[in-house]
Amino acid sequence: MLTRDIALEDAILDLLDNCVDGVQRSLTKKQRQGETPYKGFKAEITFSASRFVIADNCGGIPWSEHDRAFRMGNPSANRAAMIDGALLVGTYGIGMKRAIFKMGRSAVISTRTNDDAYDVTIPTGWTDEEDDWELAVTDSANRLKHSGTSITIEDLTATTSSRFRSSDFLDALLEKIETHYSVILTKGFSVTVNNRVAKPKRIAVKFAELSAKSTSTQAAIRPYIFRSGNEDDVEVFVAVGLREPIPDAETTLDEQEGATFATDFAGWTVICNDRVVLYCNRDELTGWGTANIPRYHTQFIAISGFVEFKGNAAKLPTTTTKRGLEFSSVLYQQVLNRMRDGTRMFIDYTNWWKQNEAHSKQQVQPLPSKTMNELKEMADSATIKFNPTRTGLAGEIYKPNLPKPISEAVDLRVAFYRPKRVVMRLAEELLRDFEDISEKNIPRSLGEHLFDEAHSKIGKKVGNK
Amino acid sequence: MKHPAYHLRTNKAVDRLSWISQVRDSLINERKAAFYSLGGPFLEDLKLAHVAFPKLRLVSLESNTQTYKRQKFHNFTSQLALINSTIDNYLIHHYEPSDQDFFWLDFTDLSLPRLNSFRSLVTKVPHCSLIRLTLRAEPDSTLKHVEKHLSDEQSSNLAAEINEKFEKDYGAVLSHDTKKTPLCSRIDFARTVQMMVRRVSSEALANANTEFMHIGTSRYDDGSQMLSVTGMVIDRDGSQAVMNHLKTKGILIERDVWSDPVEIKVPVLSILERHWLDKHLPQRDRESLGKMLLRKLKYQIDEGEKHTEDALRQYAKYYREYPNFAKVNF
Repeated sequence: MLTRDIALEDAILDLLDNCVDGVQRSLTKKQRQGETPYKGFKAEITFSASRFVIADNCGGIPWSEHDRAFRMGNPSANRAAMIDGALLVGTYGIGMKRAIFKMGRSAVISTRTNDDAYDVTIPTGWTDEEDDWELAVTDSANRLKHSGTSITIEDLTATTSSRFRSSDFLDALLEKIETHYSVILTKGFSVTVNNRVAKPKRIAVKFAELSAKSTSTQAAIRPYIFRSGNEDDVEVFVAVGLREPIPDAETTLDEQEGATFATDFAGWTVICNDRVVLYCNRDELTGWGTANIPRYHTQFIAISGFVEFKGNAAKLPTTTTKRGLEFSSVLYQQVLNRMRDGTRMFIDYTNWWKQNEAHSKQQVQPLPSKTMNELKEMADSATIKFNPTRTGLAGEIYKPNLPKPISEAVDLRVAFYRPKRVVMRLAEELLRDFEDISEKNIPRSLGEHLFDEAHSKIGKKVGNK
Repeated sequence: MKHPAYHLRTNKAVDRLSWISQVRDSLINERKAAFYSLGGPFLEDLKLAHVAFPKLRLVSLESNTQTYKRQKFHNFTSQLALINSTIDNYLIHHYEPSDQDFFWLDFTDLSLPRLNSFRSLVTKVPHCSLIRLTLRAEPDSTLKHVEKHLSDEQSSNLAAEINEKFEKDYGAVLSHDTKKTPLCSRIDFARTVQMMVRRVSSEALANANTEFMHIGTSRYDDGSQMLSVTGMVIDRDGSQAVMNHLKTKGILIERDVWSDPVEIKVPVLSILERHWLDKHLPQRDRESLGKMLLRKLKYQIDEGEKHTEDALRQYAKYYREYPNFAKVNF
């Protein structure tokens, strides 16, 4: 059993995946396409130093599936990957068993569907048996009130027990659920961990509203969007844009010194069948520092993008742990080219405006942010003018016409260093509102004051130019 | 922003005309194709393309604003769109492929950003598009210039430093098969740069439906050694059909083996000498061509008989592309 291959948090997410797969199985195709298909479905996780429980109301494991679910390995992986268009990830059939043995040595799985209710018990010592690998299936003693599954794991391993005792673990697990399940939680699914509710992390980019005066071809801040057809049973949607105004020099420096956490939300998020497999990634996996894309730098903290793969789980670019990205996947490599193109557009925008951040801020700040789902709806509404691709992965592309500064209007940054005591003394002397200015902003305010004063004096002699 | 006089660049002129010939041989439909060039102040190759293919849409990409303004002064047709942009910026923000595109990335230096522009381009052009990438491929001469003033140890340290810097700058694109230092011979360095281009194209399209098929590489002296690599981007599925079609037009596409760079080194000849030699061209017998032309000319034009024969053989190879420069007195 490959329990060493997986982190404890990931093992728990594997169990959550089974809950979500249960929801997918119980929905009709039309329901799945709705805005909040997971509404009303929930998973409750509770753990202590001696026990772990996950209980859901997600439809249960049908009796017809029990052999597959409890067998070691999954003999019909591809069939399970795409049941009537359901967006499953349980392709490999090792998730639940691996998760159980990662945490403990005995477990009871109680499940109830509309038709059946049964328990499967994994007794202590079962893994030590060399001959008897049968698992006892009994009529459900622990009658669930609704269709769903409850997994109780006991005889926890020493490592698991120790981690469950640590107060940090709850935060780490919630953080992971909130990122990896951000799409699913946004679509209505509810997850609680020791009674704390997981809240989805919102990923959105700025989008200048479309109107008769501002069509999608006119210069404005909008994301780059690519969407494929149903290529080989998988649909791809890529969008990258600005999630906030580009940073000024001070913010970039602050960020480098770790003064803010803005950079945590920059980069690419990759979603496979509603599960986030990469969250705000800023390394080679998402094209940073490869081909024509520079390595990530705090100057790019405003750039954010998401990629969604949707369809046959066997063809998604995920690793066997389902939590990682299969970088060498041909499909992903083709999509990566589109991601690089989009990233490059906003790197260029950042470079164009980096000496004129204030103007850029005026363009970006007031705009509404759109989530991936909102962008997809807009793309479907035909208000955005897409062009068909001629090379690479087939599909359609929307390239925004990003505003460019007029070269004469570019502001230049004037920067230099002087001793701090001199700067503070001058500022106190010259700046009227010295007391109200934060220490961080004093150098800038003083510099602007001195510059404007000098300019107004010279302006009197040579005219204000 | 200095631009050398064109009449002093016969090798470059030959290279440019051979590009136009390659475009002619692979062009499918003039009305549905586009020709992109970093045309320089005088838009030389764009003028040639317009004469050869009057219906072809032309695009010039120029990043320097002053040169761009100079191009506007020289604009000669409404078919030509002059764009003030870098190639990278244009490809990302504005490029919309035609049915077939022709790109000449005519750079004057060698750097990773240049190779990255090429990398980006090969992934974006449509099936059957022709790309020519020209790069500087001059081995490093620093050591040669200062060697006599250095001790053996200093020379060897400098050589190591130069090699180390080259490896550091280009390690990501150097081919392991032909790893040559920047201090090697001209032909070896040309091969090294060619293999760098090959690696970049192959990595760029590793997972794509298209591949970059080598058509030919030329090297020539244009102040320093330049290398022009030409290839066609072809759908993997339909590559054999395209290759067969192009073969009928005399274009041999190479899939697995990239042939050695061919040297363009045409001699400087007067118009009178050219007319004299042209009377005897073309000739089938290539082996004795140099000897035969020397016999007709009756004097040597380079150092010694062998060099003269080589030069005349070069002339015979490119005499159709050899440019005519004449002084006009008013």
